[in-house]
Amino acid sequence: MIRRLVDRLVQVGGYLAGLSTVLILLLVCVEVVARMFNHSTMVADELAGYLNVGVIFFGLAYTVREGGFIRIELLYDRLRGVWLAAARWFIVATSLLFTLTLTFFIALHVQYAYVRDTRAISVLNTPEYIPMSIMVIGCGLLVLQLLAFLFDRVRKIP
Amino acid sequence: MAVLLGALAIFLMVGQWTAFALGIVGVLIIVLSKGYIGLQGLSSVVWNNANSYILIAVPMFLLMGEVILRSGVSKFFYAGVATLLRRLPGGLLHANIVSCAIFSAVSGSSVATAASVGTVAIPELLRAGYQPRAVFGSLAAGGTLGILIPPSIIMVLYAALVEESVGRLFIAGILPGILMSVVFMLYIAILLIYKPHIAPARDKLNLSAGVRSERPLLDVLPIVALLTGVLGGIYAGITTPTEASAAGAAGALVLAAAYRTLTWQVFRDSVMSTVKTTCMVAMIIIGAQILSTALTFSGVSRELSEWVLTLGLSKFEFFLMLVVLYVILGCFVDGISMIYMTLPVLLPIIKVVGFDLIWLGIIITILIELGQITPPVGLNLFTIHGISGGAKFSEVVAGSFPYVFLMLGVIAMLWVWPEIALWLPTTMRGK
Repeated sequence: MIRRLVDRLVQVGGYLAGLSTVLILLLVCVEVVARMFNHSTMVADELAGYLNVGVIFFGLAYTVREGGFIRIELLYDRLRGVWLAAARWFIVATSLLFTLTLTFFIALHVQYAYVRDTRAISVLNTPEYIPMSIMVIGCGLLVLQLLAFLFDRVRKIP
Repeated sequence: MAVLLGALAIFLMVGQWTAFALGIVGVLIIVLSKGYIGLQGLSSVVWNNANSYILIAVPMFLLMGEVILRSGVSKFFYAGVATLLRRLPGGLLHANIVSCAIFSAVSGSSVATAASVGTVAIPELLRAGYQPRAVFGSLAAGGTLGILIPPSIIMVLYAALVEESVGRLFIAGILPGILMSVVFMLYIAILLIYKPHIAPARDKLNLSAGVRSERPLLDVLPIVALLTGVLGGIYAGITTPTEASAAGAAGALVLAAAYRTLTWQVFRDSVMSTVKTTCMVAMIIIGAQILSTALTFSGVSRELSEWVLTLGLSKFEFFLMLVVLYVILGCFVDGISMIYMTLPVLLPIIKVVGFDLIWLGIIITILIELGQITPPVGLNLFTIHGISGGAKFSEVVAGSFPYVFLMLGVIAMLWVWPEIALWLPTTMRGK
């Protein structure tokens, strides 16, 4: 049940990342066309930057699950049995520790941005904690995905 | 330094995902050198690299290549080039290089270029009786043009790292890219003089229906028009590289729609594949930047820079050292990790020595190309082996190996005549 929920959440994250990609495409194209008529949206640079954060962090857990990350396979591909299992536990456990560390310090940064009400120096004057929260959500999804790998006894890691 | 190298070697050899290996070792070094306080800067490193307008060009150029590949437009294009070039001696081998060179201008990646052209070309050339080794070599090496001929994802990442103009770097890559293609084609021509058996006789070459075009020019022109639009916009200063990337992706969608091959599945698969590659690239950058911050915090960067400077190397000796370093690294590490691991440390020295950063960008791009066809870890070798239909990996390696020397030859030419890279950017409007 929980395992299926994690799968769904990670998939939704992937779709949100895809949607962010399409929105970047539309936004930048609108800016290019607008400039041909001596106009500008004034916000394309800023919003496209936030959407890029969306592509990366919403898509992070999805990319890990789908085997999108590269590794040096020189030794890994030759490992068998208990050695392969040990390598996989090591990979997932250290990735989880790293992601938890990142999540914690990014969350601290978001909290700081919220409390101090720091804002982007731009036309929109966007409160920075809003786009920065995407990083926390993305890292959170990745933590769930890595826990799911552990739950499956690391047999399903790509 | 020992902790750094030891930990990095262990993580990479065990098979940890490269992006995570870099980040984990970075965090480890920060904890050892600065403790908890050092880690407080982690979030800024991540945020500044993710929220970057320049790096938006990465997903857009990837999307452009994905749409062209998945919609099958690349097949029409290859058929057009193959039909036009079939009468040249060694016809389809040249078609591979020319297709890769032109296709690389609508795709920012070497792997995408090799896969797009290779998928269509390999079955056809093997059926026609070309020597497998020659086929694999031309495709693996031709595919590397993907990152030298702009637009190029590696160039976007390099420019962002050294704070140079992406547009100038793109335009600087055009002439070396053409030069490299010509050198590859000359090599094939010379090879055919000495080993005529590697290709079927011209009068015996019959193209199958899949790669025969009834209207070859019409099949080649749309891709050429797309690349002219993308690069022309940057050259004329009408669009920034980021804008050109989005316009190129939109153009690729229009092209696919015009060929009536743009389905919902093609669109969805292209977008989701773009997401995966963008995430992978971005996380390598973030991981490498964490490591780079760690190197600065721990003083390793400074110590290493000072050590290199005390060696008192001449400009040429330092250049040779760089070439050797990147050739060795290229045998084991992917291109993005390679530049993001080394340049933050080397950049201060490079500036002291006085290299032009645009010129060096082209040299490093060629060295990364070279790394893609050198075993044991060569992305293009893996790609071509994967689509070769069961060929031996050693055959792909053997076919590609001569191209390593050709690339080193082009690097030597760029050392002697740096204008090959530096002249065209001086004529740009939008500098």
